[in-house]
Amino acid sequence: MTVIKAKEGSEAVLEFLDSLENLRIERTARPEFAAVSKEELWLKAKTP
Amino acid sequence: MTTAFIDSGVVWRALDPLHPQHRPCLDVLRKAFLPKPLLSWAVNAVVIVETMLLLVGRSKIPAGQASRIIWDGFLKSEERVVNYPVDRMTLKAALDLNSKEPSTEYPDCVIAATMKENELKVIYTSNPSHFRRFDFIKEALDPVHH
Repeated sequence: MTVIKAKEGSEAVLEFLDSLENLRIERTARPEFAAVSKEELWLKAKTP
Repeated sequence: MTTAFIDSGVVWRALDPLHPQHRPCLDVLRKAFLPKPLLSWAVNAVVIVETMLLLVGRSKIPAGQASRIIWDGFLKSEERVVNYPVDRMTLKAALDLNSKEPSTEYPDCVIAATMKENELKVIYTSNPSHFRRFDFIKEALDPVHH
């Protein structure tokens, strides 16, 4: 029986990164790419 | 091999293919994962927390998928991504840095303190000016303009 070893570590990461643009990525809303300060980022994360 | 710190803004842009600055950030990020890597990445918990916040809060990717993207596209490689601990003394050093540089946000001070503690002198960041204030950081590089 042939055992296929799963790719590990950096090789797997590189393969994933190179396939990222073809990955079906779900979005819950329209992305917001405008710059945001870290303070705003952290505060917003804590705001219910 | 050089170890450089990488900030959350760069990791976020690299991991979200819709981000307008995705390509230059991805080109830099992947350098560590090549069969002959040009460098390895240093991070701490601040970087990973912020990347998750950005992917979920700004990119609007559901948490489950964002988690998988961070793991499979970055953290999984133990040999090329070194996670440096943030302990009590790191936090104290960061508080001291923030006292000296009050205009720098505390999360960036924690990153700077982690770099100082581990003698890391280069950071890839989307906000180089935040880190050029610290004399122990020799290079703060923005992949978009580098």
